[in-house]
Amino acid sequence: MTPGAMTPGPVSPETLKPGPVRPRPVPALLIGGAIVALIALTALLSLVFTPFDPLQANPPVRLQGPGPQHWLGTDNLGRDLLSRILVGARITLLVGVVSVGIAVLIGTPLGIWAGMRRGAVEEITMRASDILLAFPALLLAIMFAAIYGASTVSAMAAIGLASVPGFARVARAGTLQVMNAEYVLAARAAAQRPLRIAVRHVLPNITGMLLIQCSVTFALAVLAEAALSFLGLGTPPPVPSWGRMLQESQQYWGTFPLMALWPGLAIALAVMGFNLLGDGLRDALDPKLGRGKA
Amino acid sequence: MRNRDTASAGAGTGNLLEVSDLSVSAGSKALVSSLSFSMAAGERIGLIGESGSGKSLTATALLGLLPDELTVSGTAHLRGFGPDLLTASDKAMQDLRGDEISMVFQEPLSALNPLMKVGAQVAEVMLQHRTVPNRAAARRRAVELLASVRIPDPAQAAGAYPHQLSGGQRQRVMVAMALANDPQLLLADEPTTALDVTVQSQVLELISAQVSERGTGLLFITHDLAVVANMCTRVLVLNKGRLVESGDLDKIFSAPEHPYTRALLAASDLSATDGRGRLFTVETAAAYVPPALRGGTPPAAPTPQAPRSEAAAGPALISATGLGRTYHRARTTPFGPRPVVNALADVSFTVAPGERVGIVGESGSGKSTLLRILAGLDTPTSGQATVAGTSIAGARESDLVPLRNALQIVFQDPLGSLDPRMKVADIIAEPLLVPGRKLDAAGRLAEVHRMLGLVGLDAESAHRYPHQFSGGQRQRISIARALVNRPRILVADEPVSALDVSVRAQVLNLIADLVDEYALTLLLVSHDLSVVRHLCGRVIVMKDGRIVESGDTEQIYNHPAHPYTAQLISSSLDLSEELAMPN
Amino acid sequence: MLVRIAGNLARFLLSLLAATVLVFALMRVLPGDPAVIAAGQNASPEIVASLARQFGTDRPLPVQYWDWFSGLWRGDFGVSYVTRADISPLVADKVQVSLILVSAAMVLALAIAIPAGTLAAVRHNKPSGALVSAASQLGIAIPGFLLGIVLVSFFALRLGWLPANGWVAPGVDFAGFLSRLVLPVMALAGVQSAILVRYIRSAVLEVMHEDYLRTARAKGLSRMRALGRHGLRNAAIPVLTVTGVQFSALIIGAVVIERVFVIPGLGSMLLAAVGNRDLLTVQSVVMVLVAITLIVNLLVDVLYTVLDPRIRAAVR
Repeated sequence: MTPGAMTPGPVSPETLKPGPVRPRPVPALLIGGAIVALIALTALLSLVFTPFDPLQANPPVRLQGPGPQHWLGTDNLGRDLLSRILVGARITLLVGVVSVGIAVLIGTPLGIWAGMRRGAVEEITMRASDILLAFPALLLAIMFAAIYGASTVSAMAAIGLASVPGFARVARAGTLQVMNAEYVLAARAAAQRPLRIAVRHVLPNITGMLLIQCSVTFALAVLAEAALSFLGLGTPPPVPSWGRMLQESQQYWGTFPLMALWPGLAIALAVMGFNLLGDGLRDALDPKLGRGKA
Repeated sequence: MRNRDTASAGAGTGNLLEVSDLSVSAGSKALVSSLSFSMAAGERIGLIGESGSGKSLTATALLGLLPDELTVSGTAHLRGFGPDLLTASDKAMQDLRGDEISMVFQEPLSALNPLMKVGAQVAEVMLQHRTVPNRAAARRRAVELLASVRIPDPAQAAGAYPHQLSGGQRQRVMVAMALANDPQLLLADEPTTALDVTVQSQVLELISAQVSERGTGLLFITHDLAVVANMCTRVLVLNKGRLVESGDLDKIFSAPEHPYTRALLAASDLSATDGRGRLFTVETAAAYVPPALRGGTPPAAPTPQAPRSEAAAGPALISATGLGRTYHRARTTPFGPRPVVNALADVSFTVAPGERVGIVGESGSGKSTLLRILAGLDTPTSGQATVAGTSIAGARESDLVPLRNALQIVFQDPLGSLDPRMKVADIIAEPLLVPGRKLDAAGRLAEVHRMLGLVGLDAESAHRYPHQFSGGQRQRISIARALVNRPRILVADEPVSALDVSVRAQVLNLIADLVDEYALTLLLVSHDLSVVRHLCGRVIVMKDGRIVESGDTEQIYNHPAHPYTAQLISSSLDLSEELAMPN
Repeated sequence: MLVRIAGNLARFLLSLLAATVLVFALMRVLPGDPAVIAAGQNASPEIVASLARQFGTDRPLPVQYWDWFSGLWRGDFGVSYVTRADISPLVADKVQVSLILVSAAMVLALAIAIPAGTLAAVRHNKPSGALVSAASQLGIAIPGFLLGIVLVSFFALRLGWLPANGWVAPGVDFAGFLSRLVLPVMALAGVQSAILVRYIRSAVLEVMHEDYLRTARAKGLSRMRALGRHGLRNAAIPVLTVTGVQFSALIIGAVVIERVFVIPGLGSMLLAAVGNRDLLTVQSVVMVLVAITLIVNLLVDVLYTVLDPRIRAAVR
């Protein structure tokens, strides 16, 4: 930091340029929220009700198109695609929630700590997260699958771990911003302890950024889980997951594309839902959009 | 110093600029309402107003650069240009902009492209309008222009990037760029507000000289009445988008007709005080007598509350010995030492209980660093300081608790110093949570209400958030927070520099009242000499991290011993002095 | 500037070193002795011991690490515990395939995203801009392998215009090489361009609100010329960072795409090795992928320094 940066110069009362008057209300937030809620409801519904047993093979009705019995059709073993899509939402949500949870719980405190302590703590945390960033979620998950075998747990652990640096960085950047704010100086001048400053000032002020990061990370986790299942390194059969359904459809791409269409749509919808939610949150929480760029 | 005297009399035939019924609105909200004025060739008009008055929008509208969301109506005609400026096509306006009309903006760093050398940026405006035959000529001319705005070593400066120049030099580049094609009209939007006082006076002088040499019409936008008095011959006063008063400078500043103009004038004049020794505010402005009517020479500022700087006989409440603070920059050679910046070097002084000490200096002088060290928010790299019995250097946080009880701080930015996610009650009560202070929630709320009353806010404010208040109200909240614990020392870091003038007077009065009431020791940092002169009995002048001079305020202001202090004082524009200059 | 680049290089080497330690710890220490794994569950202790001696895994871990590490510098990854094949030549082969695929995809993605993102920013309040934004929103949600499946089903299996899968080296049959490259590159570039469009759009939008763009307009430059002369280079700086990050996403995305299109690149090698529990091969391929990512990051850092005069002499 330069000494100049610490010496406030005169500030004009009229630094605000005429910004756009408040932009349209945030449709992204509503659409994204609705999609995410739909997926969550789907997963919950599948716990108590599915039209058919998603695991029950029924060869006589294999590869059927949508009809009154099987609304979305059946797969190569005659299993009901709708039921499998419904149940598949569970794995998607489970992996997303657990891996985002791991990333939030490890990354956020690390980032806040780095941002508040500065110095060596910050340097080490940030270098470590730089290095971990060179291991994307999917690569880490493949490594874990090689070591421990394919399982939901190793997928969640790998995706969660790979998402830690993202949270650490966001939390640190937000913390640095907050720690430079004069209200933190005022709190320090009022003899507030670091832990209290972290809880009372830092955390509430970076919650918005963290929520956005959660949403974006969730979308990435959905993608990674789908890719992993597609490669056969995710949740092992027979539990249905969208990625595995895609993999099972591989032989039928030319002849019966519906079998790939439904899980593909489900994945795309989920990713879009979480991305839109993140965008909506960003728009809703960004003070810049409200007043124009100051 | 009075730059406006060099203005040529507007003797042209027909007016240079004719604006009638200019209105700007955002949806149904009017930002500028039917503004009409005309400007003679070579005339200098000051457009005065506080934030939200629409003064910048007016200039932007004349340039045809309003954001798309805003709608504009009315007419504006420039001599020698057929179409109406407000309705002309963008293509037609492009030929005009930078050629016949140009503009200088407030913040020279962000107004220059960071990735382009400044010479090229100056040359571009000439190439754009083909006022030079070729690139080489443009480059030569750019260097000449940089020389004409008195940038040292213009050839080298032309090859520099904006971040390599100082703030004043950047603004000189902007002036060179704006005047490159000899425009008829120059719009200057707060061009010196972001600059230090000594630089400000140089840049004003430069604009003044260049404009009169070329006979350019000047529309000068500012919130600072002293600057207008220095630069302009005629003024337009805007309030909330409406023109409240216009006329010759001397008439407006000596016999303002509109109450708003009078209030603005009264509140800007920090040398005039009412019967109680307080500054005039919007409420008390009726009793204000403009300096021009107060008699020949400006009266020596009455400083009834600036007593006993000699009487500082008791033991020092604050004492600093050889304080230093250094920062390290990034290496410039692979294994060499990291360059060291001395933010503070060998600073020693003492403050007695009850004293009011002002610290003045320009940006980079180390004044804020010093303040933060004394407040225990930064650690000195050398030297010793004792504040209210607590030793600062090398102290751990737990050792500083007595200091935290005795000293509180008010910051510059009234919004940035309040946590946006906390309610006002929690903000004000925060210092009450200091270790050792046992007060239950009800007791804290009672204290909060008492403080709110003291700073003139109603009790309901306690349950609202900072963004629901105006700038002045926020600064009152900051003051309430600082005083809730009844500290002995109040430290204020540029407490009014982010506020509009009319609000500034109120906040300064509040600080003066509370300092009296609580018998506080005041340490005030400001770049504004008149603020310090009004509030403080003793002043410390800083430059480049060192104390240049210190002593009794009036003594130093009237008879500065150090050349830098003298320069600082002569560069500062003081409203009453500007107006008292004979025409 | 040179100081800064030297610093970038030093940081790159340190990161690479740390990555080797991390990979070694994860792949070699956590799973246990490869000799035990290779010998199978019912093997006698003698067989395990002889395998351990053969693999060199009976020595202390730091020695093994040093062995592996010094091998890496010479480009020697060792011999697979499972197939007993020399890993290095295989890796060298596959790296070419993967790099061709990924680079082509990145070039295509940028070629689409730069104009589209700029358009979306310039026309952000017009229907055409909104359309591009919406399309990119949609594109991001479609994972590369899904797009691959759609492309194969339609262009290869339905229309029969292009081969559904496989790989031919460019030296052998250039036309065949190109025809097999088209679909996987499109699948990879689709998502990437959608992601890049969003970043480019917001970078350009940001720049459009900068004071210096207003200055350029006040000089008489038209909206587009002001953006072209003053905006784009400034907008390129944040976009460059994103491009670097996305390149590493592409590298890992290619692993899945190789599976969809049956392309013999690093991804296929990695997945085959995971299937065989061939940990040393996994370890080698992972190391190569990570090293490529780090090299790309280094290049981005250096470019950054060249592009931005403020960073050349920045205060940190």
